[in-house]
Amino acid sequence: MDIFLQILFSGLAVGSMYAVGALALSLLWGTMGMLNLAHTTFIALGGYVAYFCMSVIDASWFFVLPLAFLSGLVMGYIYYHLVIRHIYANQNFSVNIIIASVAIAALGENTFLNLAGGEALRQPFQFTSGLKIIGVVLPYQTIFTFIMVIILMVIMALIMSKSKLGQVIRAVSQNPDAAKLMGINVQKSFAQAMMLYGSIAAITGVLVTGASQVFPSVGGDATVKALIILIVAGLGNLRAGIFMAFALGFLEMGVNYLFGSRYGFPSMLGFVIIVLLFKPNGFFGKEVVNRV
Amino acid sequence: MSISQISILIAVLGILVAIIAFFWGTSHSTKEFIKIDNRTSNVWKDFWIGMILLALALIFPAFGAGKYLLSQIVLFFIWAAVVTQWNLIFGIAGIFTLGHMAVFAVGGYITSMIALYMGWNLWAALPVGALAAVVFSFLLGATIIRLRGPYIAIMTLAIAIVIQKLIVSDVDCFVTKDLICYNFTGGAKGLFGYGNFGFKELLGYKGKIYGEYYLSLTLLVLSTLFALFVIYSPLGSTFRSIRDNEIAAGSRGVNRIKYQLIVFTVSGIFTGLAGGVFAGLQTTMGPNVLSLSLLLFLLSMIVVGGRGTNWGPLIGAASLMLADTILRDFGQLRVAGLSLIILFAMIFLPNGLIGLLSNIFNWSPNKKENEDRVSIKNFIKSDRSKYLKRGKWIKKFGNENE
Repeated sequence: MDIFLQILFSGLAVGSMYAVGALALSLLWGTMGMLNLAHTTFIALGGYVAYFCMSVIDASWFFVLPLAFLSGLVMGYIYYHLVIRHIYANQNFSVNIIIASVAIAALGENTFLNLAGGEALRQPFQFTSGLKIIGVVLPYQTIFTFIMVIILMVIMALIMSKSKLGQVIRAVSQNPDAAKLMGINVQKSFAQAMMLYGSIAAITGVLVTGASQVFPSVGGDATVKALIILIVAGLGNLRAGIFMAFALGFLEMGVNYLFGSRYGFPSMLGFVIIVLLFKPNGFFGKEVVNRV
Repeated sequence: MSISQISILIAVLGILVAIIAFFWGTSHSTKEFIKIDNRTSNVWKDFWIGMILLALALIFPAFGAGKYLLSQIVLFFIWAAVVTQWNLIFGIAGIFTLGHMAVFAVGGYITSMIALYMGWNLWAALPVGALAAVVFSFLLGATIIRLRGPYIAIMTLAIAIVIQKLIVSDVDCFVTKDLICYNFTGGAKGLFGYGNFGFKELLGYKGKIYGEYYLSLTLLVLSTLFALFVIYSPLGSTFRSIRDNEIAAGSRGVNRIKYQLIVFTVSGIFTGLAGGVFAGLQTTMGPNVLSLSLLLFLLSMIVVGGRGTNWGPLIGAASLMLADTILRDFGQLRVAGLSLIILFAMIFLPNGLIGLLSNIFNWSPNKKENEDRVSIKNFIKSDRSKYLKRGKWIKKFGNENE
């Protein structure tokens, strides 16, 4: 029973971590058809902003989330206008942007390494204690992250369905040319989507680094895992993505506890590969028909 | 590395680029290649480029280059050999795999493991390592057989990361010698102590570097020959047809799955050999060959040189190695510099340096204007224009005799 609860709780922790990554990344896939490997830079940005805010200038914890939000916004804007816009103009965007975002990820990692040093820092925006259930500790950080995932998901769903920004983004993602003819500024709406993504991703960074520590390459694994979760769930299907994040989180943690922590990620990847061999559009994905 | 050496290097590379550009003349970007498929003349052009480069590389050590410079060139040869093979998948067949360094690592690891645990000579272990790399490359191709474009990039990257994690986290003792525990894959420390190619005994302490130089040069020459052979064979045409229009290729009876597996298998051969040669020359084999920065380094060689071109990877490898030797002085900023280079290449040179060269050599000040004028002239002279009022058209588009 103990080990079962242990697996459940840690699976919940990593699952909500993947879910919050998948949430932000699926927004970008939905708008631009872009798989962003530079997500790790945004996660590290959130972590370092929290560290800077609370440990370096000794500000209150109250400012951490707004500051992360703002920095993610600015970062998303810069990223869009310096890189993505130009690559979108060339052919083969969906693959080129992966190469470019690998470069951005390396650039971000190197920048943080030079600015803050390579050692792991304790990120102060976190809950230290936990809830004790039948001898197993459920950290408050996990509960907090889980609640934040739900809040962020609701906020994003509201923005996408109700607000004008969401309408514009959906219109552009369905057909950029038609949207342009209706008088929508496509570039501007991409930039807005990127800024929305950036702010969500930086908040994610604060949450994720709270559970561990913050170092330059902190989000690398989580990014790749969130991306393969999105792929195996079927891209563009957000609810399936969240479900898959928790399912694979439980699988990974179960393997970690039963067979040793080396085999968590490999077994998860093996599962994903087997699923994709039989369902190349993902578990819940619809078959895409290519018309010539 | 002194300034004079750098200047020699730059001069040599400049001459190389000039010669290549001279022979390129009426060059083609990837798209034009399909349009003007004048294969035989291209074969001869590539033959002469290759011969000149080979001659230069063969006599280069005679100029009395230093040991450091030669060892950098040895590394360049190995990376160029890997990149030409990667280009077969990435550029020619258009399958965007990021897991090619895993194939390289399998070649190197299997070679060194066989030498270490079974006591084989490294020369004998080389083909076995290459075979293992071929098998691994085939499996890598098979795991992503039904995926497309960006999915492939993410999945192959994930596979490479998982392999690196498995190697780094390997702590079980496989052999225990003198109370020191040795892991099966060497763990984070890497494998060492499996011998070398024996150049020291054969050529003496001073001649060792020349042996390494010519070995890696042989590797590069063979792998380039092989890549060119694949590119010009019917196989290469099939790969390009799948890359350019999969549906059209499919309707002509091209089996995508079969050829995807073939291209992965084919490119595994020399990648695995390069891995083995790398392991033998470095005398250690560690998990850092799977690191993100090395992946980025080799990827930028393809992107900067020109994807899907015959000599693009080679030029990319040369320019990136040159940039790397300069960036090495900046220490920590090296990776940042590399990523800036790759970003600049992606934004400003979508066809790579080869595309830039061909643009420069095909450029003429009034080419576009000439083309416009010719087309209007043709239109006026064409049959249809007989039925039009001549004067009206000339008024509109300018005088015919101008």
